[in-house]
Amino acid sequence: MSLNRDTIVDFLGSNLGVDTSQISDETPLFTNGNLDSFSMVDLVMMLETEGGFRMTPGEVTLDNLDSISQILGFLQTKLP
Amino acid sequence: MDKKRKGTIILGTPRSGSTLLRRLIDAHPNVCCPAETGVFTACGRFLRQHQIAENVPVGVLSGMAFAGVPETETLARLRELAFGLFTEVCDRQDAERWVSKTPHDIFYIDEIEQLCADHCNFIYLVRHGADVACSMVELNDKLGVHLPETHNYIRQHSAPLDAMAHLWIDATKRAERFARANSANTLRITYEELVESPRDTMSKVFDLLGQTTDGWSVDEALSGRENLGLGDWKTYQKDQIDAASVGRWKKLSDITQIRLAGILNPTLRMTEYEELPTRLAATDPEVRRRHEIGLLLQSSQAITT
Repeated sequence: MSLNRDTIVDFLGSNLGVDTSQISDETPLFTNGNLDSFSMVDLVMMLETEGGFRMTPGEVTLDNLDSISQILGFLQTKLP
Repeated sequence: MDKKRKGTIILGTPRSGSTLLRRLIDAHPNVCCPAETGVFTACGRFLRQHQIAENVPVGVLSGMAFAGVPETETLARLRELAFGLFTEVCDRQDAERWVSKTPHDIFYIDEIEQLCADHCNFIYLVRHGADVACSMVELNDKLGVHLPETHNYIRQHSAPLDAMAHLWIDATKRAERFARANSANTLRITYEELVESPRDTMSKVFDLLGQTTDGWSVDEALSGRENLGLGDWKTYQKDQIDAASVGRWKKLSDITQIRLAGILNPTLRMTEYEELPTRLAATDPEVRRRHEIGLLLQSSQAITT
């Protein structure tokens, strides 16, 4: 599975129970309660597994993970 | 089983392989299995009754009974219509037997049993519930709409996979009861055996239909593109049977599998399917990484559990 917007949205919807029709790329995922911390772990695991990289401690932050656009921005720094 | 009965109805939840099965059946020179006609689903909706005060049934059967037409007569008329339509299709294809395939039929299994149980044969097709749930979510995304029969489940369960898992449970419990009650004229097969041993499985199917496999082969069945219709969107993209989707649920995250286990495992156990894991593997490096990520998230000043 390649990591792109569609796969992230699909994962959020199918695996984490997010109503993706009600969110935009800028909608906060964690800070407004769409996801809990357990789901956040799931999300990070999925990004690492599918992206083939390991996030450093400094990268596991809301700045990189709290919205679809932030995740995509982070991925641009990690993926070739 | 009464191999002289002309008609057979396939019962199986959506995404259980019924389109593949119909494709394999329809290739037989003496059998016709058209694409989804919706005939028996329509019959089911026609017959579905509701209860009002003091459990009085309200619907066509009770209404016509009040008008002096016995239930048996109303059912006979409806059955004659439904069977007649399939006989028409059969005659057009110069076939001896007809088989009906419409996945939505399973949502009206009680009504179909009332209408047809003693008058035709049945093929009950079952697939692992977690694979069905995954495939149903994919189907809803592809179609861009939710099937009407799924609406109640989607309203009740926020996670699409959970909703489809519950749908599979309800439909499968009904179908298993039906198969036991009608064992004399019901063949139960699994999707997994169909894709892993198609020829052997189809031999059992054709035996139910009173046919041999003479003049039929899996390869020829899958090379055909005739008689396409509703519901044929995915299976007809391939000319080989692909068993890769068996066990697709194992690609779900551990947490999702554990969550679905709580929902599906009792019914998976009842249907003799592999159950989902109920806890993470203790020695899995992934477990340690999950724990580490959890600690990192907690140490991040913005995250509190």
